Amino acid sequence: MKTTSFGTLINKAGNGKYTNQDAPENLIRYITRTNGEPKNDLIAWGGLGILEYKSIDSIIGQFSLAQQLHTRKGDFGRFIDHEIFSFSPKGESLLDENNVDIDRLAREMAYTFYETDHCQVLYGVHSPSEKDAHLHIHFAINTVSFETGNKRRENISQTRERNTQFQNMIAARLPNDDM
Amino acid sequence: MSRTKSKNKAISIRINETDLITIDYLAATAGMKRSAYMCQRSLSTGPNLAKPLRDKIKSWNLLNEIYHEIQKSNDTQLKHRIHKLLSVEDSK
Repeated sequence: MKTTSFGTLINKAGNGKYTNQDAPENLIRYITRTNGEPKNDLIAWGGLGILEYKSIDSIIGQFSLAQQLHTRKGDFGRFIDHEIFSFSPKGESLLDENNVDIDRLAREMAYTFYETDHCQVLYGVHSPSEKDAHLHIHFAINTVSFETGNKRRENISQTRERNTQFQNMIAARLPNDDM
Repeated sequence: MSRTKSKNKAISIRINETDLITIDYLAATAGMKRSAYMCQRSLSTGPNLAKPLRDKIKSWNLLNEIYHEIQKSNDTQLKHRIHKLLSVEDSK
Protein backbone atom coordinates (compact mmCIF):
# COMPACT_ATOMS: atom_id res chain seq x y z
CA MET A 1 0.00 0.00 0.00
CA LYS A 2 1.42 3.39 -0.96
CA THR A 3 1.18 5.99 1.75
CA THR A 4 1.49 9.78 1.56
CA SER A 5 4.98 11.19 2.13
CA PHE A 6 4.70 13.80 4.85
CA GLY A 7 8.20 15.12 4.32
CA THR A 8 11.86 14.18 3.95
CA LEU A 9 14.70 13.64 6.40
CA ILE A 10 17.90 15.32 5.24
CA ASN A 11 21.28 14.47 6.75
CA LYS A 12 23.48 17.57 6.54
CA ALA A 13 26.67 15.70 7.48
CA GLY A 14 29.01 16.11 4.53
CA ASN A 15 32.74 15.64 4.20
CA GLY A 16 34.53 18.22 6.37
CA LYS A 17 31.33 19.74 7.73
CA TYR A 18 30.92 20.61 11.42
CA THR A 19 34.55 19.73 12.13
CA ASN A 20 35.36 23.01 13.87
CA GLN A 21 35.26 23.04 17.66
CA ASP A 22 32.68 25.83 17.66
CA ALA A 23 30.30 23.92 15.35
CA PRO A 24 28.04 22.66 18.20
CA GLU A 25 27.68 26.16 19.60
CA ASN A 26 26.94 27.69 16.18
CA LEU A 27 24.35 25.04 15.34
CA ILE A 28 22.64 25.10 18.76
CA ARG A 29 22.42 28.89 18.60
CA TYR A 30 21.06 28.73 15.05
CA ILE A 31 18.38 26.17 15.96
CA THR A 32 17.30 27.97 19.13
CA ARG A 33 17.50 31.33 17.34
CA THR A 34 19.91 32.72 19.90
CA ASN A 35 22.58 33.66 17.37
CA GLY A 36 21.54 37.28 17.16
CA GLU A 37 19.57 36.90 13.93
CA PRO A 38 16.18 38.55 14.22
CA LYS A 39 14.18 35.52 13.01
CA ASN A 40 11.04 34.72 14.94
CA ASP A 41 10.05 31.46 13.30
CA LEU A 42 11.01 29.18 16.22
CA ILE A 43 7.80 27.60 17.49
CA ALA A 44 9.18 24.88 19.80
CA TRP A 45 12.48 23.48 20.97
CA GLY A 46 13.73 20.98 23.50
CA GLY A 47 16.13 18.13 23.92
CA LEU A 48 17.03 14.77 25.36
CA GLY A 49 20.04 14.15 27.58
CA ILE A 50 20.24 17.89 28.22
CA LEU A 51 18.75 20.17 30.86
CA GLU A 52 16.16 22.11 28.85
CA TYR A 53 15.41 24.67 31.54
CA LYS A 54 18.97 25.94 31.74
CA SER A 55 20.50 28.68 29.57
CA ILE A 56 21.69 28.02 26.01
CA ASP A 57 25.28 28.54 27.20
CA SER A 58 24.76 25.78 29.74
CA ILE A 59 23.30 23.44 27.08
CA ILE A 60 26.35 24.05 24.86
CA GLY A 61 28.48 23.12 27.89
CA GLN A 62 26.43 19.95 28.42
CA PHE A 63 27.21 18.83 24.84
CA SER A 64 30.90 19.52 25.40
CA LEU A 65 30.84 17.58 28.69
CA ALA A 66 29.71 14.39 26.94
CA GLN A 67 32.44 14.86 24.31
CA GLN A 68 35.04 14.53 27.06
CA LEU A 69 34.13 10.84 27.20
CA HIS A 70 35.74 10.36 23.80
CA THR A 71 39.32 9.48 24.69
CA ARG A 72 40.68 8.08 21.43
CA LYS A 73 43.63 9.98 20.06
CA GLY A 74 43.68 11.39 16.56
CA ASP A 75 41.43 13.61 14.52
CA PHE A 76 38.11 14.20 16.31
CA GLY A 77 36.17 14.59 13.07
CA ARG A 78 32.63 16.00 13.27
CA PHE A 79 31.69 17.66 16.54
CA ILE A 80 27.96 17.67 15.84
CA ASP A 81 25.51 15.98 13.48
CA HIS A 82 22.71 17.96 11.86
CA GLU A 83 19.57 16.40 10.41
CA ILE A 84 16.44 18.17 9.20
CA PHE A 85 12.95 16.78 8.71
CA SER A 86 11.29 19.07 6.19
CA PHE A 87 7.52 18.72 5.85
CA SER A 88 5.90 18.59 2.43
CA PRO A 89 3.06 21.13 1.79
CA LYS A 90 0.58 18.23 2.16
CA GLY A 91 2.23 17.04 5.40
CA GLU A 92 2.18 20.54 6.84
CA SER A 93 -1.50 21.09 6.06
CA LEU A 94 -2.43 17.68 7.50
CA LEU A 95 -0.68 18.57 10.76
CA ASP A 96 -2.64 21.84 10.86
CA GLU A 97 -6.00 20.27 10.05
CA ASN A 98 -5.58 17.58 12.72
CA ASN A 99 -4.11 19.86 15.40
CA VAL A 100 -1.03 17.67 15.83
CA ASP A 101 1.14 18.71 18.77
CA ILE A 102 4.35 19.49 16.87
CA ASP A 103 6.52 19.71 20.00
CA ARG A 104 5.44 16.23 21.07
CA LEU A 105 6.06 14.89 17.58
CA ALA A 106 9.52 16.49 17.37
CA ARG A 107 10.37 15.10 20.79
CA GLU A 108 9.31 11.60 19.77
CA MET A 109 11.44 11.91 16.62
CA ALA A 110 14.43 13.12 18.69
CA TYR A 111 13.99 10.12 20.96
CA THR A 112 14.90 7.77 18.08
CA PHE A 113 18.42 9.30 17.98
CA TYR A 114 18.72 9.23 21.77
CA GLU A 115 17.50 5.66 22.11
CA THR A 116 19.51 4.06 19.32
CA ASP A 117 22.78 5.99 19.50
CA HIS A 118 22.76 7.13 23.16
CA CYS A 119 23.66 10.63 22.07
CA GLN A 120 22.31 13.95 23.34
CA VAL A 121 19.84 15.59 20.96
CA LEU A 122 18.52 19.12 20.69
CA TYR A 123 15.57 19.82 18.41
CA GLY A 124 13.97 23.00 17.17
CA VAL A 125 10.83 23.49 15.06
CA HIS A 126 10.98 26.35 12.56
CA SER A 127 7.91 27.65 10.79
CA PRO A 128 9.22 30.15 8.21
CA SER A 129 6.85 32.76 6.84
CA GLU A 130 8.51 32.92 3.39
CA LYS A 131 6.28 31.78 0.54
CA ASP A 132 8.31 28.76 -0.61
CA ALA A 133 9.56 27.65 2.81
CA HIS A 134 7.92 24.89 4.83
CA LEU A 135 7.69 23.77 8.40
CA HIS A 136 10.82 21.84 9.38
CA ILE A 137 12.45 20.30 12.44
CA HIS A 138 16.18 20.61 13.08
CA PHE A 139 18.01 17.96 15.08
CA ALA A 140 21.48 18.65 16.51
CA ILE A 141 22.94 15.35 17.65
CA ASN A 142 26.09 15.02 19.73
CA THR A 143 28.57 12.86 17.82
CA VAL A 144 29.84 11.23 21.03
CA SER A 145 27.77 8.57 22.77
CA PHE A 146 27.44 9.29 26.49
CA GLU A 147 27.11 5.54 27.01
CA THR A 148 30.30 4.34 25.30
CA GLY A 149 32.31 7.48 24.52
CA ASN A 150 32.46 6.30 20.89
CA LYS A 151 31.71 8.46 17.88
CA ARG A 152 28.30 8.19 16.23
CA ARG A 153 28.05 7.13 12.60
CA GLU A 154 25.05 7.13 10.29
CA ASN A 155 25.00 5.92 6.71
CA ILE A 156 22.43 6.62 3.97
CA SER A 157 20.40 3.47 4.63
CA GLN A 158 20.12 4.33 8.34
CA THR A 159 18.89 7.83 7.44
CA ARG A 160 16.32 6.27 5.09
CA GLU A 161 15.20 3.87 7.81
CA ARG A 162 14.80 6.76 10.23
CA ASN A 163 12.84 8.69 7.59
CA THR A 164 10.40 5.74 7.36
CA GLN A 165 10.10 5.72 11.17
CA PHE A 166 9.27 9.45 11.08
CA GLN A 167 6.61 8.94 8.38
CA ASN A 168 5.00 6.25 10.55
CA MET A 169 5.05 8.52 13.60
CA ILE A 170 3.19 11.22 11.67
CA ALA A 171 0.75 8.72 10.14
CA ALA A 172 -0.08 7.40 13.62
CA ARG A 173 -1.29 10.89 14.58
CA LEU A 174 -3.66 11.27 11.63
CA PRO A 175 -7.04 9.71 10.86
CA ASN A 176 -6.80 6.77 8.41
CA ASP A 177 -8.57 8.60 5.56
CA ASP A 178 -5.77 11.21 5.41
CA MET A 179 -3.20 8.63 4.21
CA MET B 1 51.82 -13.58 17.15
CA SER B 2 51.33 -14.43 20.83
CA ARG B 3 48.55 -12.79 22.82
CA THR B 4 51.05 -10.78 24.92
CA LYS B 5 52.86 -9.54 21.83
CA SER B 6 49.65 -8.41 20.11
CA LYS B 7 48.50 -6.77 23.33
CA ASN B 8 51.81 -4.90 23.63
CA LYS B 9 51.45 -3.79 20.03
CA ALA B 10 47.93 -2.54 20.73
CA ILE B 11 49.22 -0.56 23.71
CA SER B 12 52.07 0.92 21.71
CA ILE B 13 49.59 2.35 19.20
CA ARG B 14 47.91 4.38 21.92
CA ILE B 15 50.92 5.22 24.10
CA ASN B 16 54.03 6.91 22.81
CA GLU B 17 57.59 6.50 24.09
CA THR B 18 57.42 9.51 26.46
CA ASP B 19 54.21 8.19 28.02
CA LEU B 20 55.89 4.82 28.60
CA ILE B 21 58.89 6.39 30.35
CA THR B 22 56.51 8.33 32.64
CA ILE B 23 54.45 5.20 33.35
CA ASP B 24 57.59 3.15 34.09
CA TYR B 25 58.83 5.85 36.46
CA LEU B 26 55.48 6.02 38.30
CA ALA B 27 55.26 2.21 38.43
CA ALA B 28 58.78 1.97 39.88
CA THR B 29 57.93 4.63 42.48
CA ALA B 30 54.88 2.59 43.47
CA GLY B 31 57.05 -0.55 43.56
CA MET B 32 55.03 -2.25 40.84
CA LYS B 33 55.52 -3.70 37.37
CA ARG B 34 54.29 -1.58 34.45
CA SER B 35 51.33 -3.86 33.61
CA ALA B 36 50.20 -4.15 37.25
CA TYR B 37 50.46 -0.38 37.68
CA MET B 38 48.43 0.33 34.51
CA CYS B 39 45.83 -2.21 35.53
CA GLN B 40 45.47 -0.65 38.97
CA ARG B 41 45.25 2.88 37.50
CA SER B 42 42.56 1.92 34.99
CA LEU B 43 40.52 0.23 37.70
CA SER B 44 40.77 3.15 40.09
CA THR B 45 40.30 6.08 37.69
CA GLY B 46 38.79 5.00 34.34
CA PRO B 47 35.23 3.95 35.23
CA ASN B 48 34.97 6.53 38.00
CA LEU B 49 35.27 9.38 35.52
CA ALA B 50 32.76 8.09 32.99
CA LYS B 51 30.06 6.52 35.12
CA PRO B 52 28.90 9.60 37.07
CA LEU B 53 28.75 11.56 33.83
CA ARG B 54 26.65 8.86 32.12
CA ASP B 55 24.31 8.69 35.11
CA LYS B 56 24.08 12.46 35.24
CA ILE B 57 23.08 12.76 31.56
CA LYS B 58 20.47 10.01 31.97
CA SER B 59 18.97 11.77 35.00
CA TRP B 60 18.55 15.04 33.05
CA ASN B 61 15.53 13.71 31.13
CA LEU B 62 13.76 13.00 34.39
CA LEU B 63 14.62 16.45 35.75
CA ASN B 64 13.15 17.99 32.56
CA GLU B 65 9.92 16.04 33.05
CA ILE B 66 9.67 17.22 36.67
CA TYR B 67 10.32 20.81 35.59
CA HIS B 68 7.69 20.78 32.81
CA GLU B 69 5.07 19.11 35.00
CA ILE B 70 5.61 21.60 37.81
CA GLN B 71 5.29 24.51 35.36
CA LYS B 72 1.67 23.45 34.80
CA SER B 73 0.88 23.57 38.52
CA ASN B 74 -0.86 26.53 40.15
CA ASP B 75 0.78 25.88 43.50
CA THR B 76 3.45 28.62 43.62
CA GLN B 77 4.91 27.39 46.89
CA LEU B 78 5.41 23.90 45.47
CA LYS B 79 6.88 25.41 42.28
CA HIS B 80 9.37 27.39 44.33
CA ARG B 81 10.39 24.33 46.36
CA ILE B 82 10.86 22.13 43.28
CA HIS B 83 12.87 24.83 41.45
CA LYS B 84 15.11 25.09 44.49
CA LEU B 85 15.60 21.31 44.53
CA LEU B 86 16.35 21.26 40.81
CA SER B 87 18.99 23.96 41.11
CA VAL B 88 20.65 21.99 43.95
CA GLU B 89 20.57 18.85 41.77
CA ASP B 90 22.11 20.72 38.78
CA SER B 91 25.00 22.07 40.78
CA LYS B 92 26.14 18.57 41.87
